[in-house]
Amino acid sequence: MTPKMWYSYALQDASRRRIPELEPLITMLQQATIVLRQTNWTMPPSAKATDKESHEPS
Amino acid sequence: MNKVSITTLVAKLRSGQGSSLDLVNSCLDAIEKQDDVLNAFITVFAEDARRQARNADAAISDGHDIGPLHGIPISVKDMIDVRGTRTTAASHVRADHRASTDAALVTRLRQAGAIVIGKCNLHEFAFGTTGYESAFGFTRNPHSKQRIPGGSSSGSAVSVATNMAIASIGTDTGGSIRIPASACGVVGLKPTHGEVSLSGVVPLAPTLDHAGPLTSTVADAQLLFELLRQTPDEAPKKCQKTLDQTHFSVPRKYFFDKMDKDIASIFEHTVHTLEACGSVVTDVEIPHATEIPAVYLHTQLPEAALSHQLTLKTRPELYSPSVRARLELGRYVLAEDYLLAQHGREVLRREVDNALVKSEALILPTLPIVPPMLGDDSLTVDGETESVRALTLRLTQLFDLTGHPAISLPCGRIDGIPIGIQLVGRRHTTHELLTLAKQVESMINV
Repeated sequence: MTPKMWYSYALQDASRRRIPELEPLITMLQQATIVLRQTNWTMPPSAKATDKESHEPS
Repeated sequence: MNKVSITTLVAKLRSGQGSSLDLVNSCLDAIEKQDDVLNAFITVFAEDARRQARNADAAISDGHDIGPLHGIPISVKDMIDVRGTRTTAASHVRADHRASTDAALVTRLRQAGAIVIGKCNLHEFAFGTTGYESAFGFTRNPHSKQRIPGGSSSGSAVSVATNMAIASIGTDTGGSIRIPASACGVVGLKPTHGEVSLSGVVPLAPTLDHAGPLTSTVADAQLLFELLRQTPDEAPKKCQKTLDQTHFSVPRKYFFDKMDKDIASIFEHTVHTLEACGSVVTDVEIPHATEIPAVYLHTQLPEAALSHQLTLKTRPELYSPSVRARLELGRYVLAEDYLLAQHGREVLRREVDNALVKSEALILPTLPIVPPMLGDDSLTVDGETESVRALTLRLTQLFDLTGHPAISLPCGRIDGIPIGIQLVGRRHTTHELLTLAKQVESMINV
């Protein structure tokens, strides 16, 4: 589900459940979801391993 | 603020220079005089505390020594079970609760001779950083009564800052020990995740929840941590370095982007003090720092919603509206986003581990802002308006995500309001972090 579709469904559901306080929070969460999904989460190498490797003879 | 260490107090009790009953009565007097205004306590065990104090004094007279906390009055956040009493979590949802047994950490405190003097106010279910939302009314900052004391362990910090208790135990899911410690001018320790048992503690977000002490001195925090810990250090003990052998790293990017200028100035002064002692202080980068709030939200919200699944369904009207809304929000987080956040969390953990390879500790302020006025929801920093919640979590929540131990200690004041500095150590080396923090405390003593 795209964040845009999720946002629409979430707002409809909050309205149906009569919890108006949720609307600004859903907007805030949608922005965070976009950030989370757009980030490159490649695991960095361990600095300890890198140090060790750098001291090994080439 | 009482700066006499617990060890000194216990030594005095043992040598007959004072009594536990005097100590308990002194705390109860402080509660009587100040708590109508400050509202730090939900429940006070006055008569039971006096009875235990008399027993402690009699034990000393009879030559019996219970332990390192013999006769010392300690408060606990009202998220922590004390046998036969209510654990309200500052919510109407738990009005009928009674604990049948002590939390594991309370058992440890009692085994060491401590007297539980009362249970402290908090932000409802520890789900907030201000201490403003509580079924028992908000807590005030003792240093500026129109300001927040920080939260969620608001009453715990206030009880220690005002001598209503000698020490307190709080919980920390995004900064809830360190934030009020900073705002109230006391020491607050969040150990490595899992080091202190959470059995008998009301959960908020289990993979983020920690318990730890709030105290007047780092030595007291160390004493309590060693008594409460359930796991040994994983890392082999090293010869502890002195300050002139210590390398600190400052994670500036993101963490210092929205910071009160006076706090930044006090921080730089502290860094210069450490450099004058021979410490090396260099900058370090946490590459994914900007993404911390996104990872935190997608972790904490669904875990909190799960913790409250039953009562959100059966008794939603008993929550305060803002806490209920945030709990409900957690039910909208998709499973794929929670799992992606857990991967992001592993990346952040590696980045903090890497930042600590060449240094003994990260150093940064605990809060980027002076504690806001009661009821304020947002603040403007450097021309940008931001929610108080986001600002107060900004420098602390990363270390709940990654599990690294972190401690806040007082490092200065702005217009009489305390400011805290935060030290972050390698995982499973909380003991070493505390030993380092004692040295820092002695250099920047305010």
